[in-house]
Amino acid sequence: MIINNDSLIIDGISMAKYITKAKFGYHKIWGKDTGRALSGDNSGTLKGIYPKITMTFRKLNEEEVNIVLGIFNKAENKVTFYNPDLKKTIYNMSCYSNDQEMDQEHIGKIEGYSSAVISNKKREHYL
Amino acid sequence: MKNVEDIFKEDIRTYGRQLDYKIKVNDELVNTDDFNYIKPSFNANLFKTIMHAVKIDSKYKLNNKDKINIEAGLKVNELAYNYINYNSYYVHTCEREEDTSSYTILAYDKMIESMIDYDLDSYGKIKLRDYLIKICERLSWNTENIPAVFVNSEKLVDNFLHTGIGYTFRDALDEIATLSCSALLFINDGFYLKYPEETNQNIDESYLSEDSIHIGEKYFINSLVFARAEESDNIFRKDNDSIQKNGLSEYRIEDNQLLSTNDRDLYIDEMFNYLKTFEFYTFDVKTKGILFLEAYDKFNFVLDEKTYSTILLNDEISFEDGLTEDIYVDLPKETETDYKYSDETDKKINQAYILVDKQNRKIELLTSEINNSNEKISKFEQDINFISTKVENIADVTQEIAGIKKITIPDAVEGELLELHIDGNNTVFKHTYVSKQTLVSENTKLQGDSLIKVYTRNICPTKVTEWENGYFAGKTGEKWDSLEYIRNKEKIKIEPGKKVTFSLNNEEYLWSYVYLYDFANRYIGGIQATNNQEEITITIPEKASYINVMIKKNEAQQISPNEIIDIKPQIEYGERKTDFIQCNTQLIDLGIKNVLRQKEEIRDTYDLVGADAILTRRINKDNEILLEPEIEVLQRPSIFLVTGENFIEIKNYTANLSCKYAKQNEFTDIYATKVEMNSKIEQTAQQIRIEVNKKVDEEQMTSAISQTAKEINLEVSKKVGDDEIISKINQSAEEIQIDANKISLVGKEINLTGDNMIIKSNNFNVNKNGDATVNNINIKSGKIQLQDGTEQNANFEIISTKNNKKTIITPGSIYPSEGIFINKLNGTGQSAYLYMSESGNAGIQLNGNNSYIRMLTEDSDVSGNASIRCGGYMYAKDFLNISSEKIKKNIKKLDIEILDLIKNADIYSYNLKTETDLDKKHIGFVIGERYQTPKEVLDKNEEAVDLYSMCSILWKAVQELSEKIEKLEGKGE
Repeated sequence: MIINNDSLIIDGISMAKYITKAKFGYHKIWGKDTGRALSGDNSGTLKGIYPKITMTFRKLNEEEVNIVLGIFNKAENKVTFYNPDLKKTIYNMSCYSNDQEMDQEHIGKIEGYSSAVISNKKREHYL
Repeated sequence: MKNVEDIFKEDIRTYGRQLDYKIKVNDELVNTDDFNYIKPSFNANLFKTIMHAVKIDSKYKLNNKDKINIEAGLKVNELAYNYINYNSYYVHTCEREEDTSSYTILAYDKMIESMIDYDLDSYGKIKLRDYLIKICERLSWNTENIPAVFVNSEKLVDNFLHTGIGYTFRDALDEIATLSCSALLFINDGFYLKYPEETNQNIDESYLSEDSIHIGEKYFINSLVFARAEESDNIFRKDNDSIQKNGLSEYRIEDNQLLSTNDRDLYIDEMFNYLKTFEFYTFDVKTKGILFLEAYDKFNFVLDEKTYSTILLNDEISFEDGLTEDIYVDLPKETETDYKYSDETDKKINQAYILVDKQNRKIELLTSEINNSNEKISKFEQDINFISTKVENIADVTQEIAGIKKITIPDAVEGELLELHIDGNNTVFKHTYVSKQTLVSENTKLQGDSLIKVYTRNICPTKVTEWENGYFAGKTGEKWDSLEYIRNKEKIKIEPGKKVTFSLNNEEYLWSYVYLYDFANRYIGGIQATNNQEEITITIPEKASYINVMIKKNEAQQISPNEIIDIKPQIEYGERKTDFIQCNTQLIDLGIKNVLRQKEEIRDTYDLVGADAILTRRINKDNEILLEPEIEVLQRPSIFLVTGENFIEIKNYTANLSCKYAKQNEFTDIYATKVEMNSKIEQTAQQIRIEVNKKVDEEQMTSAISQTAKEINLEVSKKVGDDEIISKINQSAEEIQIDANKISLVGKEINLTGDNMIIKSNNFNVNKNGDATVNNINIKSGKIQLQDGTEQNANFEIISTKNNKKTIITPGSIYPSEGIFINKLNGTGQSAYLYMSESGNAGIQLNGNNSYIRMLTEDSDVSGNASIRCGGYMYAKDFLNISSEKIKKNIKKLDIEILDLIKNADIYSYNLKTETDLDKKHIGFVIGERYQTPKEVLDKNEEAVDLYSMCSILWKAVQELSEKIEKLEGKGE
């Protein structure tokens, strides 16, 4: 689900000028008890469904790379965006980001680099 | 089972189930994001309390006793979670985990409140349910969920058994749970007494993890054992059929204080009846979460189309990164009692048990045998400080017997009947009233009939005698002596070995023969009596079964045919027991003058108890019940029982009666109603005490030895009423004290070896020098010897402390302070007095007209050599020489010329050397070589002059002179 780039703000920085697109979805986290029951059926606890935004960046220069990495090199990001599922803007959603992995060849021209932020709270939290 | 909807049971097994939690701390919701895991659990033993626990890892630091409430929510597709509640938990510990920067919290439900020292007062015996309620009230727990009735709920228990033994309330609750075969636990904060609850819930494979499923063997109970110590003192109930079919499966209850009493068999049946229906499969299963099952829920595992019914005893839930729930029930500890040391009951009467009280470190062993009249107990008690051994025999030698009209008293001890009770019934002792038509003379006295008859049988020395008539059979003209006496009766049945005596009451007749017959009535011989023998005694020989007799008349005479002669031989069979012979019969009037009445259940009564005989009237003659009973004291009759069997019978009426009497027993030699004997040994680290007691009715005797490190005390006492006699010996390192009314030392030699020993008493004292002071000495025979020291020291002194007069007796001498009076005891005036002055003068004074000094020899009073010597003067009215020929021999006339003898003797005047020259001169002979004193007048020792000889010589001299004078006169004529 494509979201409006202009609506995506992370830690007070509008991400529109750095990204080519942003996708919105949900991330499911399962408990350790997940597996097959004695009956053969799957069984397990869905610990939660968490909002997730995946961003694809344009070519960034070195200064812009520093800015972007500076955003994600933190434990928590506050993300404001328009939630197309709930059809409302979510402000300052507490998120964590995935590991930032950038190839050397991308330096100076970071095209195709993507990153995601995942809500620390379950979807229900934002209902 | 927790109340959940079916959707919950569906969701819990659904892939993608979601969980949520609500946690309150002290009733305030807290952020569950700060909790890393929550692990509720319980672990239960059969028939005990159950305490729920929860272990939490949290960023919150909680304080001790903080209250935690947990709700776990579940949903899959629903919008909202379905929550289930857990008990309130109370923080017990909260420990910091440094590696996770969190706190591990351990909390328990309200059951933890019971883990305080038991402090209830003793209520005595109360019902088990009431006791449970008392504890709940003490702990401020709600009791509304305690069932009105449960196993043993109505049985009485003594809560004192839980006091002072270091119990907590939970220990007490555990024992109540055991006795009721239940679990005591909290469910949703409510206190419950819960029995296994059938939920009919099936747990199939969809609940279970695939990697750890174990269904074990089936547990059941076909034997219940109450045990108080290993292999001893057990009681049990068994289902032998089940044991034979399925093997023994025993549930053993050990060391339950409520079962430490000797009435524990009161509880066992109700428990066993419940437990033998109780069964479940053991299991150990990991599940993906069930959550809705609770402790003591019965449910089924359905696996491979097979159903295993079981119960939930252990549950460990983990809310951590999902949900797991491990549930299991282990096989209870297997026990096997050695039933040969057990019994089905403690038998309140006879028992042997060992009580081991581990909490209080006490051991009690007891064997007892109790019956209606005897109570024998041997008991051993031990605690950490004390050992006591006691053997007791209490014999209540009285027995009560009841009957109607007549009672049989077996095995009586000879003596007075102790009690007699007669109940009124409107007929007993009703007098025979004289009809109006009966004419009664003035002298006729109506005697009240309240007679009882007391008698015995069997043991009375019965001489069975009978008089009989017989006749002499013969023809007319025959003489008596040829006839046979014919008994009117059959021949006498006899027993071999018995003695039978025949006596005649008529001197005109003589015994002749005793005929003997065998069992077939065949004549086997006879015994002839001598003439004039009035009595024949024969010992019945073997084979003889019958006897007959023949009697002759003194003088033969003719008789008429078949004439019956009035002759009655008395035949005495000797002593033998005759069952229906009453003897020792006493006919006793109780003195009751009117009928004993009855109205419904109210009765007049006659009660003879001890020394009293009391008539209690409760109904008047109009058949009305008296407001207050009227008591009449009657004269107590003597009702004497003989040894053995006795009978008491109301002579002429029928009524209920009962009595109490002294029964023969091992103390029969003592006539008493109650004999108590016991001996005990008590030992502590400080003391040992041995005691033997005997109490016979009011007489009590005790002997005791107590020993400590410092002393040994012996005491023997005897007490009758207020009178008590005690003798004691107390021994310490310093002294031995003997205190008794009488002390006897019996031995061939008694040595008192102490140095400078002193003997003290009011009337007999010996000081350290051996000086004795004693009021009187009575020496029946023998002698008094003074052997100590030299002759001078061997003094025997008689001293009067009143006037300081004394007499010293030494070997060979008597030294009186003045003189010695000799008086006849109780004499009147006559006495002898041996006196001496300080200057050495002494004298003998004999008072009385007929006093004399007499020195005797064996043969005669004058033939010996006895003599009296005197250095002074001897004064007397007369000096007499005994001159009888009886004492003389060699007698012949003196034929010497006396006058020459006289003429040749010189007479002197002189003073004794003890006299002064101025004293009056004596005249007489002087014996000595230089003096002319004829030897004929001297004594044989030539020391004295024999005045009788001298006088006789003078007599002879006068004869000679007379002769000469006569001659001279003749010449002159």
